[in-house]
Amino acid sequence: MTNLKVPYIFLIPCLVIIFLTLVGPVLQSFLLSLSEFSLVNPSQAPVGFQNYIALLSDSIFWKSIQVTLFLVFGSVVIEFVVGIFLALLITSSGPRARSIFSSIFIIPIAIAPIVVGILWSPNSVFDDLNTLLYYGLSLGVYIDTTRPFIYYSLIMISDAYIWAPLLMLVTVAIIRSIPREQYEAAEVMGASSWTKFNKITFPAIISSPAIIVTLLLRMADAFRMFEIPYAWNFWLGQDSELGASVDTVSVLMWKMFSSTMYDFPIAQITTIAIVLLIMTLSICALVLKRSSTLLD
Amino acid sequence: MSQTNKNNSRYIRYILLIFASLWVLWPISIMIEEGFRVDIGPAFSGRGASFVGEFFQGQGGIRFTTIEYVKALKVEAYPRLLVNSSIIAVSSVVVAILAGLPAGFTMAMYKFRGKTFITYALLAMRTISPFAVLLPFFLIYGRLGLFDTYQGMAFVYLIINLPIITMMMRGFFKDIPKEIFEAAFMSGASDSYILRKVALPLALPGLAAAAVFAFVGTWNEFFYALFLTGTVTKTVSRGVWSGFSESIESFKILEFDELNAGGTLAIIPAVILSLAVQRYLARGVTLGAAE
Repeated sequence: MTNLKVPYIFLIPCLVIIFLTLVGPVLQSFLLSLSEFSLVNPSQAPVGFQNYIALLSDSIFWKSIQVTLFLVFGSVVIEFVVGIFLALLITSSGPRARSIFSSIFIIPIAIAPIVVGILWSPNSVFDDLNTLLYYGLSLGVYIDTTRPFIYYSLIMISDAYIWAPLLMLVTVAIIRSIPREQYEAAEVMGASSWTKFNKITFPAIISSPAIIVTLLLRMADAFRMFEIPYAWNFWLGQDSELGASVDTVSVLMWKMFSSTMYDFPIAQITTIAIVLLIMTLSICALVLKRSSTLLD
Repeated sequence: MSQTNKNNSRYIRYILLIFASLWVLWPISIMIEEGFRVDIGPAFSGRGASFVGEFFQGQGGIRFTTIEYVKALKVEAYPRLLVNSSIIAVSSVVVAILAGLPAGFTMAMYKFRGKTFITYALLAMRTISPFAVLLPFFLIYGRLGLFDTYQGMAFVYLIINLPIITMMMRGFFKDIPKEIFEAAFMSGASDSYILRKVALPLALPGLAAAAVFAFVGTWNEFFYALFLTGTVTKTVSRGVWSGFSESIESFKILEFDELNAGGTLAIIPAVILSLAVQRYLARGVTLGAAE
């Protein structure tokens, strides 16, 4: 229907909100990042890119970037693997089991991330598990949640807990769209379940634009991961320490913003925010390019 | 394949399904129990223990009490925070529908210049780190007196709700067979007539799903609430962390039982609503990009 007149007036409210909530504030953030604005220095006069240059040599910033990338990578990989596993379970079940269990599996999507920070805290799941290991089975071992390997894994698991169901939903849709004839042909040739997964299902999943776009969006989300590491800052007693071991970029900005020690350094915080924004905007550009449905 | 083999693989599948359900439900059930101050650890051993670092803290035990829930509901202001969250979320979603419904309709029906920009901007709103927009909001709200007001919070949450409503509605309008619209356009009906009389009635279940999904997203939001709400508009998800009293004590660390009771109360509405719209969850989260 390209020949008809486009009702541009229908787009105006949407555009107004985009400019007021996104474009305007982002531009002002960018201007602030070029100044020295803070609580003690209310001047918003631009001073060039010196905040960005200072950021390049800031070891705390680089550490938070490393932590963030590590957590992004770990949680997206776990989500992907668990999502495929759940999808295979769902698609190989009968219709009744399918509807019951997929309703159970998607519950975590509805849970606020801050609550998930509580769900997987050291005191919840691991108290019972540790009591079982230490006293119940008398193994004399327990899982120490203050060890970096354990708490990084737990943050990744918490994120995967929320979002693996999303990967499941997308993967189930992809598996359903694979023609049944492919499996029938494989069965005729005597292929095992593993061969069928390895040669038909997995290639179909991995080459689907839907899964690539979902993984990209999950990456963009994980870059700004805040609530779960925020909760873990308290579980580990690191909430007043800048550059603590679970400080993602967002948590670092929160600490700079809320601590009384740093004169409310708005210019520096917006500098980090703009750097983070550039990362997520590039991921969004990839999403737009790879998605087959967004622009048709 | 023999019959026993088939049966075996069915049992294995059921065992795996139950394990996967435990992965989802076990942490939630512990949260609900802890809210009742029940610690099932001792059932394994006859003694309770808490392992924080190297210290064994003798605590726990089965001492069922509803005091945390009663406290949240009666003494503290959980009902009040629930009203706050609902007012903010509903008004924000309504504004998002007013703006997003016509925009989603246009994006589903037409190809036009600037469509890429709008789609990209909505994706950016969906994925943006709140800090990239938060500080300008913080400064401007301070100046305009919008800090800690319902209208201010509803406006901020348009960042979450507008992309959801616009892109989900675009998807629902696209799902309607093209012939229906072609017939309407041929008869010379205007766009607003087609939107109101043809498209909207057919996409009404979709609109309900999009609205519910956006409501849950706003309900669960913690970051903007942490910075922009105060004693007037404190939301439930902020209350989970700092207590359900009306006062704001950002750094008050709650008792673990209290946190768990709060978490339980906060997720009940969100889980019920999300299960009602589960068919559309993937469309909502990915804005229809993954279809």
